[in-house]
Amino acid sequence: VKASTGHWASAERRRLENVQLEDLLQVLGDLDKLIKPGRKDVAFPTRLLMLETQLEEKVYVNSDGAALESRVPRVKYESFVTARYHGRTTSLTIPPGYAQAGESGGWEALERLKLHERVPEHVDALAVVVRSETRLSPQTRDVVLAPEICGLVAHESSGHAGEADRVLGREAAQAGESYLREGSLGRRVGSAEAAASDDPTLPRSMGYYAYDDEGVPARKRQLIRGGIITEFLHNRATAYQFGLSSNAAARAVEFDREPIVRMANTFIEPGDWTLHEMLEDIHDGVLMRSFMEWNIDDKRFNQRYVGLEAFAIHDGEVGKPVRDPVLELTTKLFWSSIDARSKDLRWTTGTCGKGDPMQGIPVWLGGPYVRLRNIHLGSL
Amino acid sequence: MVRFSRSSITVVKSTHALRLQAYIGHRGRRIIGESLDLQPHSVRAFLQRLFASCRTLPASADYAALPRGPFRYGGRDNFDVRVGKACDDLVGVTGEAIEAAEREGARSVAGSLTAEQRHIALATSRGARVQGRGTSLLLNVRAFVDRNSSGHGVACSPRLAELKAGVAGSTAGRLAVEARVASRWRPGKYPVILSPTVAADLIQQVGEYTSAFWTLSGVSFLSGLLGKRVAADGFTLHDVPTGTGVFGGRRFDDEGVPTQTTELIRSGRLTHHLHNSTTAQRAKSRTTGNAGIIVPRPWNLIVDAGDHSQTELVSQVREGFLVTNNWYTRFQDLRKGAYSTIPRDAAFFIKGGRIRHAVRGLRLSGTIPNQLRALRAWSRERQWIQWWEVAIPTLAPWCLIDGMTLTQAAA
Repeated sequence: VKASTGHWASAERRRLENVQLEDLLQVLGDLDKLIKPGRKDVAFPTRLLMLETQLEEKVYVNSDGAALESRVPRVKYESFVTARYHGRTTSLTIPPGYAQAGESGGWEALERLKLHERVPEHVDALAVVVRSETRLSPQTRDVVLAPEICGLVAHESSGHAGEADRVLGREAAQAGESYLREGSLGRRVGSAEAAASDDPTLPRSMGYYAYDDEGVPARKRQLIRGGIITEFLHNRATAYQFGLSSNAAARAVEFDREPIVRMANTFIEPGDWTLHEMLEDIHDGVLMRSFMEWNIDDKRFNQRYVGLEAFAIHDGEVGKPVRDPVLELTTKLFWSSIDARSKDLRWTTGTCGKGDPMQGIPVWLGGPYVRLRNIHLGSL
Repeated sequence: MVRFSRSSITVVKSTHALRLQAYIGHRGRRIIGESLDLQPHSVRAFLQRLFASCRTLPASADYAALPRGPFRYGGRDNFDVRVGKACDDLVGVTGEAIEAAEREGARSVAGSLTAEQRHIALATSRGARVQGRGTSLLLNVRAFVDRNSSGHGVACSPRLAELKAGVAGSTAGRLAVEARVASRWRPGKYPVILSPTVAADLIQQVGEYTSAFWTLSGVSFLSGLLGKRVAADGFTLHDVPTGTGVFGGRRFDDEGVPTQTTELIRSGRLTHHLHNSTTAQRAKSRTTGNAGIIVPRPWNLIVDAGDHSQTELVSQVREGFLVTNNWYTRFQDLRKGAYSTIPRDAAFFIKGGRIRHAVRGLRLSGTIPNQLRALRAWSRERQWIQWWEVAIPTLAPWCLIDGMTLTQAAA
């Protein structure tokens, strides 16, 4: 790898060093005013709101001659709330799914997050959820997943599964291995509509970087294209074992942690449908907009997502909310069941865990609306 | 730390960190900060910034002054001087674990051994002055016979001489071999035997959410249940900070208060929450010596021994399962304790009181309160567990729980 030198940074207008604690408190106080009143007969008695600014500055040198300096400021918001309705209390998060809303950039990133619009929208949606009593009987249905769920599926079952150190068994003890093997490149794992990528070069993203922590220039990685595994995520060591060049996936959270293979911003690629078109020929289905509980086995094959904001679909129309639908399926079934992707591409923010000692690293998770045909949908 | 995979060491890491943590309480305002730069002028600047920030905060209705010292601290630190000097020994210990797993039939072994030495000095403006130190060794071994057949073993100790590396390795290897021939199973509700590793994960959730920070806020599945039945008759759980045979722990908490043994559950009833001085004031109670300045937390969780052997638990199951390890526990609704978790490594189907064959692809779900109440029996044998999935050191038995929901991914 040619040695890289220079300086790179996330664009920023107002430096986070110039942001005062009062500024953060003001934002949180304003947001709390949007949650505290509740909605009709739904109260939000407990509210734990967190606004975090981070500044990551690195000086990187290696014996190949690389010399890089970088600066990535980040802003992120998350909150835990309880919602009380008719004496019943539910623990929830805003955004749902223990997710965050975040971007890289200066204090202006907060304006781009539009929390003053998004938070009340979430509160409205959660009030609908906790009032809902309807549960669907488990059966096979068509399912439409919103970008907020698709991003997580991409991260868990495409990104992690495609980390070459897992494929090689290096993470076997804790984070686990992968259902993919060294010879899986070129293998079909999904329908022609299955397409997932990871891209660290997205400006404003939480996973943004121009060079990885081994001095390799960052680029987009196409993990699944047309249902075929096309690329793994590599650092220098795993790339060497595969006879390839690193595609710049080495990241470390601190100067005293080893750079290991990590995702940056993982997503299902958008398609060319509108949501309306995807819904219109569904006779009996469910639209899952968000989730709370999820998990996946350590080979990244057996996964589950329990819906939070979910709605029945009848004859192409989105209808009543339904509680706690359970999508529990294999990775191969998920990618094989996709028959449509919308044009939309939305992002959520998460902290990806891997490594020992644990290295929690900022990422974006994204996707369009995705339609899955004939999927068994359970219920809590 | 020594990490290994495919039966070879992949990396040895050594880190040294010196941190200053400061808490300022001033006229009802509270702030916490941490600095890694301990040069005197940097510390002065750090504290000045922290104090200036504190003054900008609104006063808290929950504010409680730090408890007034001085205090007398009992107990003894769990410290082994060999742990800090054990780099070569650690490589040898991992070799012992790998060889033990291979002797049982494992073809590939992965894991990590972490040796930690901690020194803490604490002083408060209310008269607390104390120092403590501790050591810990955490060994986690995962053995494979093939990519689908694996077993897991854990060994934890504060002392190098007491670390049972060979036992962890042979356990992992034996389970991997036993997991090799798996058969189909049907999802449904079954009695399930949880190994100490799996039980420790559920018990740490109980320990974490007995923290008054979470119960008072209404977030926890144990909110509003003080004095009420939350587990089966006879189930007793303590938080134990120090003592003979205790794995981790501290003699003082983050407010300088001497730690104490706190009974959390007595014969199935929730008897105490964990408090710092702030939550204690809010609950009109007393600190239990579990500060965390913001969130009280347990030190070591100990389940009282049951009166069965692990073999006897298996013999009580007409048709059910035994799971040896799990990961990825996530909540749909923390207030209800509604969650699912994924068994990993060896799991077995039991029929007629005997283990019949290995099974794969299970997921356990339900609510923790219901499962605690459905505890049918637990073992005399207990094991200290702390690893990637279990952050709080927990002395856990084998647990037999009725009516656990097992599901399987659609394929």
